[in-house]
Amino acid sequence: MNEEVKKNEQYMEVLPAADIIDDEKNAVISLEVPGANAQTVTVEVKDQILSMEARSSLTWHGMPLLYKRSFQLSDAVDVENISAKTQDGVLTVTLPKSERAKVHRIQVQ
Amino acid sequence: MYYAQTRQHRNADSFHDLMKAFFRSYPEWNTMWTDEGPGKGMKVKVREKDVRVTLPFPGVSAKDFEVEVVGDMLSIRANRTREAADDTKQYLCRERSTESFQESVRLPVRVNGAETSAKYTDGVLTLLIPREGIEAKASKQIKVD
Repeated sequence: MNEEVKKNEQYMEVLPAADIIDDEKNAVISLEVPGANAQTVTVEVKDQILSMEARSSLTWHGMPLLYKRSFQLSDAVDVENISAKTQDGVLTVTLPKSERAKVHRIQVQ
Repeated sequence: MYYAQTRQHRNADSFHDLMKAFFRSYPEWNTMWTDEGPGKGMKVKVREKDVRVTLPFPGVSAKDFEVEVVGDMLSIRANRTREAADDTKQYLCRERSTESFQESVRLPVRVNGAETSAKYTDGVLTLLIPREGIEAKASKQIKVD
């Protein structure tokens, strides 16, 4: 993992650790954002890039932490139906696969 | 005001320990090997009336923590229970820690452990431990005759 820590004027930017799990219908991204919740998290998709930002109540040398990470999406993701939730400091983003990308098992006669 | 940042002890192999020891001096380079980067590790802050301890440990629940205060020794154990269930899933990327946490630290001031309050919110454990005998340590001017 190539974790980055950057300083800006208001926040300490931190790259959150992520798990990505693939199943038949979805890809699920879980990001560790301790100190952040639904009110302080933003998730958006623009030009096939999924970006998330989470402001945390934790600080580093007096500066609040800002968890920030982006992912390039393939066109196999059904962008319209992406959902996100936070619980216990973990942001979970569910990326449904488009119909084209789903596994279609064909019965051989 | 006393501010201490403690080191997290993990059941890691010696290579992990070596990397942690090396990168501890250079947290800007790579904080994966340190427990002292932003958003990591237990922090103890002594305030006027209490000691505030915070531990970021996302993805568990309150029942996964065991907290003990004996005298001025604070022990925290945090267990992860998600690991076993996740082994059946297909990971495209796996960066989140699956390790448990255990740490004991001697607090720098006397505390009243029986009055400790603990809460787990947004993946952060926060303890408030009232200080003991603050009045006795209050400064007193001595007149020199």
